[in-house]
Amino acid sequence: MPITDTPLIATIAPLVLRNVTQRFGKHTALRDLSLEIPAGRIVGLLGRNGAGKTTLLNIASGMLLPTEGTCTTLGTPSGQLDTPQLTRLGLVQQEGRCLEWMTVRQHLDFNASFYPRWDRDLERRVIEALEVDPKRKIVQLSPGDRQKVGILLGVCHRPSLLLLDEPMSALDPVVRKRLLDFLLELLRDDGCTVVISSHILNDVEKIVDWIVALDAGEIVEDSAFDVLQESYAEWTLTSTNGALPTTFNEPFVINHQGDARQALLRVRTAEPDAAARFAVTHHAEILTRPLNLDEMFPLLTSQRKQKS
Amino acid sequence: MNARAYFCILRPVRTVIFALLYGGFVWMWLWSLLRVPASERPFLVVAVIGPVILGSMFLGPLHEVMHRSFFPTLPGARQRLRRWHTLALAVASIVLVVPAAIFVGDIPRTALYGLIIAGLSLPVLNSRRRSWGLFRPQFLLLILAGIVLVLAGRYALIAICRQVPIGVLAVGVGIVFISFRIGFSKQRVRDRWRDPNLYCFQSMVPFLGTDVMLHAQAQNRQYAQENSRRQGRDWNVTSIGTSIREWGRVIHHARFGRGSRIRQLLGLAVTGAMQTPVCRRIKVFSVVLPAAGRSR
Repeated sequence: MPITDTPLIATIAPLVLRNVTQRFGKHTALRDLSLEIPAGRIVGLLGRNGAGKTTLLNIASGMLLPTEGTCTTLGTPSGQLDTPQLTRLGLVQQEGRCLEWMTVRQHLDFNASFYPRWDRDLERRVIEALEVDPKRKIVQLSPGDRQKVGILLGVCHRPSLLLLDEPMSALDPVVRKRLLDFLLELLRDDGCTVVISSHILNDVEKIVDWIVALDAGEIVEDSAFDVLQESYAEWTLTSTNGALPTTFNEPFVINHQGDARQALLRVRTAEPDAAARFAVTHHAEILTRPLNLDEMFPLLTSQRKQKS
Repeated sequence: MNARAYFCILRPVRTVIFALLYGGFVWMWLWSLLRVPASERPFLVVAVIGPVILGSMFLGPLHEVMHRSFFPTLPGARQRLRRWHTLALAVASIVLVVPAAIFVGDIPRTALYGLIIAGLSLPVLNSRRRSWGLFRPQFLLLILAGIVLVLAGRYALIAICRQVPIGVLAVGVGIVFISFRIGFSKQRVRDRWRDPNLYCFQSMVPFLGTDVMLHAQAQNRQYAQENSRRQGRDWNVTSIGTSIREWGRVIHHARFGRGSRIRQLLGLAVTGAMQTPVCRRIKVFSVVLPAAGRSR
């Protein structure tokens, strides 16, 4: 039976996690985590090593069953994902393992035989863009080339939910750019929902519209990227009258460094006139600069520590 | 999954070569090591041990796919592999029953078919779970059961086959049903991807797939390193001194990483035992042929 995206399916959030806890023995990888990702959104999943990003993606794809709570992927509990859901799900893993003895071409043909919507034209274009040699055996490929094969296997069936776990960690900048261009094309054409976990934040920020940050298995940020860009800033404070204080008590100041004459502040505030009022209060001139995702990352992922 | 994809992973030529090779080994074991009379060897090889070997050969590539991380997200993969495996075993059972009927004519075909389908489907139960971090119990149980059957149980088995052939067939069908139900269950298949260090015989054929074999060895060394609970040792010439035991440990570590020495020894013992009948056979020829030449 052909699988079609009915309006009903389109309105269901492709990924919903409710109070998910995941334990591995004594270690708790995810702690009472709740998250809802609406259709068409491109989510950047951020977090330091061991924050729980891969575990979350494995639960979302049904590869792991949560110890507690529920995960619904494409309208179905992730532990019960079957053919109709899996044909619409794409997963690219950080260290995905393929059948080493196969050639790239054989592996693509093998995977394609499971998908009714495998797009050969898309496959050809991605092979060209990522510069993959289909005649080579998987075992003979470099880690970067194996990652490219993983990307090929994850996207050529045009999934409506694409989970990317560190898909670019072993790719060179040229191929990374091509991959991002291709992802943007896929999003434009298919309205695909994407969850991308990556530490190469300069690349991620070019495509994401939403940020979810994890720290020690808990969500510490779940906001639109635009909002974050507007609220996080670096202020260069230059005193115009006397010495600057050694500490700043305003709650939106996250950290600061400098001396009595000049200070560099990282702040988070949604108020548009906050900088002006701050300048008046502290008799200083302020130069503001928005932070990029690379600079935001340590601030986002350390929020739990600050709260505690 | 179509026929092309199935045959791509099965690699039928290698499957047949390996099944014949191992069948030959079993034949020589029975003849040379266990001294089974020639009249009983065809029954054991074609109807009992051969189907288990062939079933393992058919299953290995499927398990290899299940042990890769892309498998859990392939739509309908578990069901389709089960369907193709059922079809393959059905064909294999029909192919095997022909030589069985020819070489073991005194046992009813119904009973032979029951034995063959049971033997073909038994390997499906292999869960590849390690007990005590050392052995895979199914593997050992299979060897032990095989030896006990050959040494003590074969007369009883032959008698049962003659007296209640329908009963043997019914038990065979029951084993097929249970094996497939357990072996291809969602639960059993789900967690296989987490242990990706499984390579079937067809992938590791020496000389043809050497690069895969080297890769597998490197992966297994890494796996052993990651899963070792032993403390690391700081070896140097002074601390090792003249201790042969310590030098043995160094050489083992250099070759196998932190893998268990007992498991390696067990593997070497099984490999050695498999070679013994071949060596004895060669020895017999080396004595018989020159003697034949002299007599001429």
